[in-house]
Parts: sequence; C-alpha cells; structure tokens
Amino acid sequence: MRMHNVAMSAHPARHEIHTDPATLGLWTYIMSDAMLFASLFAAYAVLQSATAGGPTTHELFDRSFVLGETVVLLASSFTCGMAVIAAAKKRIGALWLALAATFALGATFIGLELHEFSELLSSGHSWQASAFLSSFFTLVGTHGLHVLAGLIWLAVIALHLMVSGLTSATIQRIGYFALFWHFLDIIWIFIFSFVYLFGTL
Amino acid sequence: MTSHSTTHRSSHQPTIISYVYGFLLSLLLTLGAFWFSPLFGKYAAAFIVVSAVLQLVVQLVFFLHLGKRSAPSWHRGVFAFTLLIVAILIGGTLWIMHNLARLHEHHAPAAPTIEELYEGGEVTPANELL
Repeated sequence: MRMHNVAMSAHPARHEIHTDPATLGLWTYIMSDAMLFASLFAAYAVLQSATAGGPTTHELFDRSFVLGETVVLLASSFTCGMAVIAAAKKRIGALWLALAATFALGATFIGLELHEFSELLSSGHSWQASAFLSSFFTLVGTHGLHVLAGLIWLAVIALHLMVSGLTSATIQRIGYFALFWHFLDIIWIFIFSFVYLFGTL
Repeated sequence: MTSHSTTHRSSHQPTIISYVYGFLLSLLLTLGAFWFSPLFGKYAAAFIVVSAVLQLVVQLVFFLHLGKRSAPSWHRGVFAFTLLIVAILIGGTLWIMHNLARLHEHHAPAAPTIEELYEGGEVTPANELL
C-alpha cells in the first residue's frame, strides 16, 4: 500500500490509480449505496402495479422527456471524465470548462426532474396517491438527491480549486468525485430502463 | 512490484478517446433501447434488459476503468460481491412477493374493489406521441 503511494506521488501527471484508504472507503460507500438502490428497485418492482385504481406507468410517464434527461446525465458523465483527464494533465482552462459543463448538465438534469415531479404533483399524482407512486418518488427522488449532493460536492471542489489551485489533493478529489458521478449515471441507466422504458412498453 | 506495475499502468492510462468510445456506445445503447424496443414485441423487455446490462459493462470499462489490468484486483472482487448481493436482494424480493401474491389469490376471499380508493387527479396520457 505504502509502496504504491510512493510510486504514485513520483508520477503526479499520471491518472490516479485508486489504492489508498480513502478510495477503499469511497468504494465501500458506493457499493453500500448500490444496496440502497437495489432495495428501492425491489420495492418499486413489487409495488409498481399497486396503483389503487389510479393511473398506471403507461399513462403517467413521458418516454421522450425522460430520454432527454438520460442524454443530459450521460453527457455530464462524459464531461466529468474530461475533467479527470484535464486535471491529470494540469490543463487548468480545460479543467474549468469540463467542471462547469458537468455542473451545468447536472443542474439541467435536476431541473428536468423537478419539472417532471411538479407536473405529476400539480395533477394530483403525489406520493400519497398510491403505493406505486410512493415507490416511484422514493426511487427516482433518492437518485435525484444524490445528483444534488454531487452538485454541492462539485461546487466545493471548484472552491478548493480557486483557493489553493490544482494541488495533488485536488486532483485526487476530482477522481473521487468522478467515481461517484459515474456511479450515479449507472444507477440512472437502470431507472431509465426498468422504470420508464418498461413502464411505457 | 512497484516499478513493474508503474510501467504497466502508464500503458493503460485513461485517454480522451476511451471516454469518447464510452460515451458514444452508451448513447447508442440508450437510443437503441428507446427506439427499437417497441419493435421487439414480446421480447421488448428482454431487449431493454440486454441494452441496460451492455451499457453497464460499457460504463464500467470506459468510465470506471474496471477490468483494466492496471486497476487493483480488489475492485473487481468488491464489484462481483456487490452484484451477488444485489441479485439476491432483488431476485429474492420478487420471488417471495410473487409467491405471496399467488397464495393470496388462491386462499383469500374476493377482495373488495379498490377503484374508488385513488384520490389523485384525472389522467392525461403523457405519451400520446407513441
């Protein structure tokens, strides 16, 4: 472990390979977060037909709108990867551009999701209306909260970058953030597929 | 060990092109699942599942660099374990709840209608385009 770290600090320009304790902790967190989402997916799968006589997934979901959300989040995952590369190559301008794009795309995603939720709520299809809607809002909303937390994290990274410049600690933080952000995109693939595409077949 | 893995790693560094591949493949799989799944009739669900799993693999390889020889091997171990637990959790839940529902069908008296329970608003179908 220690030998690894020594070797890594000797080549700061290289992309960080995750072997330090913080990365182990981050992976532990992400994998346990995956369990959280797994239980929410299981709950949704069981409850999605429990509509209490109310509208079903077919009547409520807008495929095309959600495709837009999906592409936006995927694009933000890509720009996040660009940020990792820019940080590793110490290209400050490109790094700022990639971080700003990631933030803007993530914020757009949240905006679209809030729009979808408010449309549902304003026509009375709230989480209180049926077990299906409870599990839907819990699953999709939990993912949305994660994205929101990611945006806050990104803002903190930007603050670090402004105050102390591109230190090796900041490069590492960008790597940690990227891991989290890519994970959120992977969770979204399954929400897109199993909630929205399945629900509108 | 250190110098060996160092030389190894530098050849497997993530590059812009690997992210571009990952992005394009993910986009292709997303759009494919979106547009072509209705064409598959009763296999549409299977088509969506396959697309989702393929995209999972694409993102793990191109975005998270899992499976690269340079990545620490415990990444793969931890990930495989997670997959196992997720499969048990979701598969087990569906299995148990499915059995419960079947038992309920066979043994319970006819349930009262619940059509009047829903207190939400009127429906305006969102996906009229399709």
